[in-house]
Amino acid sequence: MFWFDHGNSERDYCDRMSRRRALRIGGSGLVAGLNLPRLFQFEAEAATDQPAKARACIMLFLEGGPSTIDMWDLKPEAPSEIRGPYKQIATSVPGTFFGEHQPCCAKIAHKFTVLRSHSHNDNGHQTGYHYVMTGRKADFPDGSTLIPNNVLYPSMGSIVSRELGAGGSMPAYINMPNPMAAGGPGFYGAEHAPFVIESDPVQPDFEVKDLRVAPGGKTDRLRTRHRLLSGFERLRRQTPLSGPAGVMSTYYEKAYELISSPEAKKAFDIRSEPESLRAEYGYTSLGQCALLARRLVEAGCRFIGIDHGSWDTHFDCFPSLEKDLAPQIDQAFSALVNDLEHRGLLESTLVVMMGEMGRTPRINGRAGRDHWSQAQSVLLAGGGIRPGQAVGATDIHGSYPITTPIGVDDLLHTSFTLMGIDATKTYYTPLGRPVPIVKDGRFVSELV
Amino acid sequence: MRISFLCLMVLALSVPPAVGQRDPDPAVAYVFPPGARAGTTLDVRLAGSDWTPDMQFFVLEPRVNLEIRSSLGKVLMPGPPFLIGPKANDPLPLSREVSARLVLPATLPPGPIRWQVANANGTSGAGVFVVGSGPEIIEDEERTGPQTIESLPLTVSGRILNNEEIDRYVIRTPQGGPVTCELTARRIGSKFNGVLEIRDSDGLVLVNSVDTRGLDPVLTFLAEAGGTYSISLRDLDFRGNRSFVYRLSIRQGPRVLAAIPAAGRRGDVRKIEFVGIGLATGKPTLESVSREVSFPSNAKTTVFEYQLKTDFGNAQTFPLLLSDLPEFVEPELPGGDTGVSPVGKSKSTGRIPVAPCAMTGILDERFGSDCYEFSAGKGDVWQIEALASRIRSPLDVTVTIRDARGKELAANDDLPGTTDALPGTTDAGLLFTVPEDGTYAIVVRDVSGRSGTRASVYRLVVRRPEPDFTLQVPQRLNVVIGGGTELIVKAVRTGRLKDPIRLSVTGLPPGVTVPENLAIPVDKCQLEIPLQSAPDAPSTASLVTVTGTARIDNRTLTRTAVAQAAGNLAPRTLQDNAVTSILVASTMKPRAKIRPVESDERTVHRGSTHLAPVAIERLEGFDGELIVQMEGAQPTLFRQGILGPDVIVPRGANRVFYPCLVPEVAETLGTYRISVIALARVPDPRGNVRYLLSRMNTNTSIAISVEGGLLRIARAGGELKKAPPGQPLDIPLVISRSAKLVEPVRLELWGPPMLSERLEAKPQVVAADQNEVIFRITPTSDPPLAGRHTLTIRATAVKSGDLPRLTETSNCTPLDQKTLSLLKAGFLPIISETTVPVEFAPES
Repeated sequence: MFWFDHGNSERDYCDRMSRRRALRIGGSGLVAGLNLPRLFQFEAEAATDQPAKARACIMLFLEGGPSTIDMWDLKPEAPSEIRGPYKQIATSVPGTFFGEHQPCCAKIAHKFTVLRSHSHNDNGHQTGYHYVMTGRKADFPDGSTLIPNNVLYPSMGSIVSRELGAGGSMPAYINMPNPMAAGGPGFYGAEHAPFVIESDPVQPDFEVKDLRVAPGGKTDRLRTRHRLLSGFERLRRQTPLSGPAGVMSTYYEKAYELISSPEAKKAFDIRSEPESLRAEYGYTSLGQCALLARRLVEAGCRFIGIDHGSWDTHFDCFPSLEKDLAPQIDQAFSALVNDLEHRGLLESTLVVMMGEMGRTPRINGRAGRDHWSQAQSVLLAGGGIRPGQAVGATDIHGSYPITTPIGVDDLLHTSFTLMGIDATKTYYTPLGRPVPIVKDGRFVSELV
Repeated sequence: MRISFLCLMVLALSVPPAVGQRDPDPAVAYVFPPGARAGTTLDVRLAGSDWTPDMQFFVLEPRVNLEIRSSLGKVLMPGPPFLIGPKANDPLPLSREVSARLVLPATLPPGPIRWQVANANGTSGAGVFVVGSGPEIIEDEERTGPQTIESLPLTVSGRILNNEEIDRYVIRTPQGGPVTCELTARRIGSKFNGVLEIRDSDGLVLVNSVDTRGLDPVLTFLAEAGGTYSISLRDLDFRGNRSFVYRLSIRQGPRVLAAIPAAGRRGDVRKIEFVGIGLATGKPTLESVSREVSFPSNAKTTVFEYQLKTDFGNAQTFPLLLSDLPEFVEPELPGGDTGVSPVGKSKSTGRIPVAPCAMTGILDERFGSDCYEFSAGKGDVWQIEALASRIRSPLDVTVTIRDARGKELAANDDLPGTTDALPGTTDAGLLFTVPEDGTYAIVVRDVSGRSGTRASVYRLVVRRPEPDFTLQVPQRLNVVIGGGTELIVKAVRTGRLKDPIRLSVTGLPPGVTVPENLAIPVDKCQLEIPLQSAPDAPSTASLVTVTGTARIDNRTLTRTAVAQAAGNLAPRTLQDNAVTSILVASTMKPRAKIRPVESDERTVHRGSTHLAPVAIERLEGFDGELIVQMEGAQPTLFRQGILGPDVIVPRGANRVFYPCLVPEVAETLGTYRISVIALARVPDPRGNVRYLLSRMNTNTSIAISVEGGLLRIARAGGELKKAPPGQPLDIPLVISRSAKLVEPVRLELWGPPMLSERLEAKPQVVAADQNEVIFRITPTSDPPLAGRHTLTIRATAVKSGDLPRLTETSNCTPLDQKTLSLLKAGFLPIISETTVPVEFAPES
């Protein structure tokens, strides 16, 4: 079992700013003396008996809680205060209907599966995010602004990073365009923290600044500093670093790896994509993130978490749903599935689109929908998912599953299994506490 | 992340939000400069939010003359650098300014004076201006380096204008000795926590003081003869804002922290021990010196300011209380050396020799307490007060009464009237009715943890309550024309006052009346005075005074009602905020309600313009034109700001699209919010034109989710561009566009404004298929421009839009004229800017 020395403070595991700072320092040449990275040393350690279908996962996370009753699980027979204003449309799967603002997804419904009975009981944003990303109930009250908020339990992406490592010179785990609130590595430590792009690919001058040598930095200067830091590294090996210094060392390693990687630069060059394909994804933040995610999968990244906000639609939700939110995901998700399929990557790439919860079936007094975690539709494609299904069902109001509810643990268990990760594997925290990858849950055979 | 917004939503779920009409009252923000010496005439800028063109201004000190000298300026948006992340989420109000002139008579005593504003919507809280007594200067806000201070003492009126700003001043000290610097910021309403830092000529930090308590920092350091020192001032969080005005007092001399005793009898001469920094040797240590002090015999004042003179310079003036009581110092009391007290098993500090009297005590043991014994008869009533903040002590004292067995009979931590709005006013006091003949103890403790030095003083006052009363009133009040409201006057009686308190109200606005023969009955502690406004009353405001009289033993006591005014964020005592004026305004009913049609967020590209639909509900039969414009008090998540113009809502219309320009610097991580107001121009019953303001309801605003931009302009290469003298400068630029942007882009030199006369650059139109251009800038002035400058080049593309009519007359919007022209012409601008560092060589 691999042990990584995390230091004494949980806060030291993953400090986004520190990491960014490290990368920027890298850009200025300070890290040019690092040893070669060891980012992939765990790749061989991932082991399950289940043949892995998925080599990578793209998660489109709709932060705030998407209103699935308006998009994927309409209830046309329900009263108007529940069914909302939208009509349902037929899809390419007979008997399956989506909302009228999901026409692109309706056309390719046979290529993915909608899970309509995902359910849990955490109605908070941060706590719900923590739950669905880690499989553990948050031990903090909702409202925390700490990022990442999962200081102990690793997120789905960090688990994938640890179990599978990277498939090339790319980081195994990436967040874009912003850090996921519950996307941290927990006790796995900085080595499995996400690389966060923190730049919006829809921006016409998009670039990952961390990959650029800072103005004034020169190659020979980088090499000089590389040698200097190598000297420190040799000293370090005699006295293993712990705490913040160890974390920073890990960040430096990641930084140098990225800066020195032409493959990374190429992968992030979204402008090399044809305009027609970019337009197909949609010139939105979500669309271009999805396209970039596909490029990163091609480059060997294992888990890409796309954080897409504005789904917390409490007030007058229908204008923003029909003009912005629903069309954006309709275009982005369908283009991503089509593109992956076209490139032969869909079978090996698990695509998940979900939020931390759903929204209340009943429209509130302010023409919006509030938090509702009891029923949420999750879209799943590729990576061994059997396409063209609507798994599970909810009651006439879309309030509760009427089939066996699929819980957070079930979905995590299934996703990990599809990626060839033994979901029952246990790691130990620095204090010796056993933490299985997934606490409970089952493999949802209906999905495959 | 949408964390903050999500947090709000969590709250929204747990407690249904109060979606209600918001108060349309105006607010005051600052006056700059924030102070001046008595006997001077000063041009100032008065600022506040949601002001209308018809503001009325009031100074609560009648001897000060205020003359308004300009019309109302536009909304002032904070400039770069911008805050990002959570710190950006809670914006300070956006201000508008007017020019004014203050005439301060030479007879004005040093101290704060307050000012307020009113309009037909209501009254504001108070702002603070400081009258000083020594030499003063105003910060040179245009300087590029530290400002040199030629002589001391001096008070600088300045402000931390922008985020990350650090104001630096350099002083020279021909004579060595202690130098004291004191910041006054929160006490004049500036919402920042100052950090003072002193550096020597080598740049080494000698001492700093960080205002973590929100009480304004002060420090004293030892200067060498002939030394040069740098004083820097910044906000704790490196924030800056136009409203962050301050007064920095710098004086070569020690600092008094305490006086023992803290008070003296009127007309007495007695020895006072002053405790402070550098008082005896000039060194930065806690020291004491004693002086014979003559206490004035003036019966009208309760405090006199004493200035201690030392060999190392004059200390700041220090308040000594004027008293009519016997004043003791704790060690002088009889019985203080007897060890353990028979009362309550506490160590005895001494026996109170006579009542009434006052003792100055010192808690010179950390976490120690003092115990005073006294004998009293059954039924006696004693008024016991332990004062610390009132005498500038850092202690937070409590007072406890114990009986002979040590049983606690009464206790108090903070005096009544202390509220969250008055932090730091933590003195204690109580009325004690003696249950039986016997010996009792008064125990004084500190709960601040600041005991343990010679400066840890308090004053204990023990007296029988005299028959008297005080009156408390609100500081501002609105009464709608044709309607009524209640002016609540609260009375606090002491000493078993048995007479009703007759009240008189003077200075009411025209048309506002109160009933005759107002009195607070003996068995009541307040009176709700009905204020009635006549239907034909003009809309105006005035300063009102409430006076109470009561008869006691054939004497007539007259007391003016006191209100607690806003403006001082760090009052030491209740008296610091006490004023005797109530600002009463005759207001008019709003003529509209305004709300966003889409209150959930819409996705907008940074640098682009979003047309937000806004609904108007007309009230009171009003059918006229309205103006929709940016609100001053912007909501949480205004962040780096969204800009909007002044939009006309035509007569009879009830919906308008409000253009919201998302700045290019906007973070692409979540929700932005902007609130707008509707302004109606309506005559009052006397035909005076007034402006009635309607705000969006609580928790309602235009919401936008920001994504990456459509257009980006950047300079090619990062190096400094150099131009020979008088020669043009060619700047290579790269233009990046989204595929969604097929329109041409116009390039123009945008700034800085101060160079607009000295540089010429022909605007350039760049076709949709062109990504690299050379932008030429030519110096035009004679002599040629020299030195380093940072130029701003703006790229603008436009899309057609169904735009509303913009107002030609209102001057509220912070948008620049060129952008407004585009909007007026029916175009939605998409804007990107880049800065270019350039250097023009000097002529040889």
